[in-house]
Amino acid sequence: MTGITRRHLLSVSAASTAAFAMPRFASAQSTERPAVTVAVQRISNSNTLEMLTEQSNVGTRIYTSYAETLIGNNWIGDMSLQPQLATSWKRVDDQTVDVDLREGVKFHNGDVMTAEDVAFSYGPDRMWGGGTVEVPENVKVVARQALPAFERIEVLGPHKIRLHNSSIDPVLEGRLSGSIGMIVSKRAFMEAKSWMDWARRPITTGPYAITEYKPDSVLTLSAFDDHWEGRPPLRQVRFVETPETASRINLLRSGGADFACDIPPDQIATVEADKRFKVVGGPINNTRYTVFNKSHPVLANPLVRQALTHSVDRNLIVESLWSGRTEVPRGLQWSFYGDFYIADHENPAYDPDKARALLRKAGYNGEPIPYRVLNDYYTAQTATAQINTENWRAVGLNIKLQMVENWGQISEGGPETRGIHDWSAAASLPDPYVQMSGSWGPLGSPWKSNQWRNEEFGKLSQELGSSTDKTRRIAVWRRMLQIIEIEDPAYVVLHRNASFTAKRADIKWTPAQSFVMDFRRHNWSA
Amino acid sequence: MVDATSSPAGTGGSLITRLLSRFATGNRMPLLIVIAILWLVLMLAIAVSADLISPYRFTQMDLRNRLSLPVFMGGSWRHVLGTDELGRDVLSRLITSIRMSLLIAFGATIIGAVIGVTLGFVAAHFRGIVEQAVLALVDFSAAIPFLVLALAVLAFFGNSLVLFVCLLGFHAWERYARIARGLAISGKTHGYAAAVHQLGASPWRLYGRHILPNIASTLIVSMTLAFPEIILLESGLSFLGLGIQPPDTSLGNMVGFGREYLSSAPWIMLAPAFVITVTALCVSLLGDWLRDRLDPTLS
Repeated sequence: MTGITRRHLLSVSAASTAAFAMPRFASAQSTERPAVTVAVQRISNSNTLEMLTEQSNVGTRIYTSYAETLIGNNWIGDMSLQPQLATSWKRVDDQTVDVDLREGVKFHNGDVMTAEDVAFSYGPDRMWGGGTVEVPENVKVVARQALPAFERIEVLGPHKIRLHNSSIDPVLEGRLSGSIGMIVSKRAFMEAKSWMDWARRPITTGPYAITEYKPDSVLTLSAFDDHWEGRPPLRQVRFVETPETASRINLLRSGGADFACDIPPDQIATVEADKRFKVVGGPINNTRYTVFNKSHPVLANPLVRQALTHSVDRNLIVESLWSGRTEVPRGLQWSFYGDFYIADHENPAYDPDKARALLRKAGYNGEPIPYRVLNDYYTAQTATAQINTENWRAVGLNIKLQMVENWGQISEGGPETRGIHDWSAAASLPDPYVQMSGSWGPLGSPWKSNQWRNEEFGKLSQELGSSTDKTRRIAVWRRMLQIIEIEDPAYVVLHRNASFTAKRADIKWTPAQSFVMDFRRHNWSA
Repeated sequence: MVDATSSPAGTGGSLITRLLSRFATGNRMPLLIVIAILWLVLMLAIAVSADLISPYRFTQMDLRNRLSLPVFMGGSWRHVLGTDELGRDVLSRLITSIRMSLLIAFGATIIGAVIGVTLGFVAAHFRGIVEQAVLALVDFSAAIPFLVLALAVLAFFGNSLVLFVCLLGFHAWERYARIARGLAISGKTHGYAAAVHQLGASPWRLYGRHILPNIASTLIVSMTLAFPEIILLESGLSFLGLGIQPPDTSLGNMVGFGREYLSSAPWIMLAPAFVITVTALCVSLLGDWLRDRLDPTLS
């Protein structure tokens, strides 16, 4: 489909070497650059490309190709913060950061990025409401979740801004690397007819510009030759939605795609049996867990939820379905949390007898508990769900597995129809407040939708955000983990997620420690 | 519907007597038909006794023993047909799947036949505008590709076993309706129908007790044609992920989930695929043969 032959590739690499020598003037050769097709299981859950409405694993995969944030992440290296649209930043005090913006950055519509656009991207018209245009409710929630104490951005000069936060935040700079902070063109935003029109085709600064987006089908990005890093290495990047694993692999084999994402570990040997292909990837910064709806009449009893957590055999799942290629973390926390890593925190042990005893104590009598599952949205999701359902059945829990089509169907219906569903959580910043309070605190969506609330946890979550006493914060964090994972479980952690991508063996491309797919020039040679 | 004592001899038992006499006096049954009947009896026996004969519970997992080989490929006798990607016994799943698929096929065939025959008789009895309405429905139904309709219904209403069986029941109802209408109209002109009518029998009695048994042979042949189609349709929809959902299993569902393992563990999908093919073939062969036997013009 892409029509790349060996000879063609040789000429392309020759051309791109020339391009490196004369970055701006080699555009006559632009048609010679390769185009790649990536088979993904889903392009965007919300059918938008605006990260304020698309906070998902699949959204993470696509957005770095067309959008950029002030501060970037070294996704394929050590995950450290990198200058992107900001060239440097400096703490003024605990609540204020000064940021110098890159000069000569152009938006896909040709406009030059200024401090105005940056202030606008973080402003009321796009994130908070109360400006001149109406902002959807879910956008405000997502923005507040990601930037809990954001106050405003002050424009200090054409290429200098100051970020004001209303409270102390140890990872304030890190928050500027979040996907919702993609810098957008003020003019283009204000010219868009509606939020949906904008969200389907945001005007941003990334190395590839959106040329076509057909929801549920295909996203086509084309090289943006005016990008500040110079000409991007690919003429075109196309994401093709292919929900079935077997179809993604077949698309790769038949030459219809150059990359196939979300390959289950079982299929790695099958794909690599053909020398033309290679599977890359491994554990990423994402935790797979299964979450409970506390407002379900049966799950309201913490003993039932504890029984659920004690009948999940994580190690067996990792060993069998993942061939040991990932690991079981100690709860929803990361070793890069440093002093905040509670090294002696234990997941609820797999103990069917204890689970049975808890169910007896709870007076559980086989009342059905619905468990909604998407067909392999997460790698090996259906298989994992069936393993857990079988283990739950073995201890006497009556779990009704319901296969659903999309995320909307998962949150559909009254609280008695929603029991258990699968979820995941990503982290990149070294402070537990970002991930845990963002996902599960009073600003998070489960709290807002009354899926899980716990008064003590809510207070501690706020304290974790506002306290400056490190020792106290560590104690608070320890207690929060104890509440949400052991005493009043909101979820059960399954394993660290891993992402495996099958690709053409002749392409030199490194996968990220995240769902992000990096197609910038430093990560491409073929 | 009708009590047996009042049934006039001859009409009610005519189908069975005719069949029996043909079996007794006709040519010897071909070997292929014997095999087909034996296979279908075997499938029925498996479906009825699934719980008794399956060696394991169909959801029982043995994750440390995933993708183990079937006996004919050198595996152990613990799992005669091997295990699947979750270490579940393929034989046990196959047995449960056969029951599920046959249940769906029987249920759907009967629903289709009942709807079709009833509407056909209604059209034949009332004629006029009612008949035109029924015929319009028949044309409508025949004009829409059923798979498209099924996909639309499942996408809108979600999936449950009852809905799924009812939906498949609407497959091919228009064929029964056409046959029933045509034969009932011609049957009404026969002497026996006129006689029963003259004696004051209600329409219920006329159609249910007298006309239906006389046209049953054609309808049964039509059912044997629809039956394998429904098995294939169920398999197709389940393969596409719109039919039977985990943790339940059906033949098509097994093929669908086994396809990822086609090159590494082909036994997961070969066994159900074989059963689908052979069962559909056997029912078709039997139906074809029955048609020949029951058609008076061919004897």
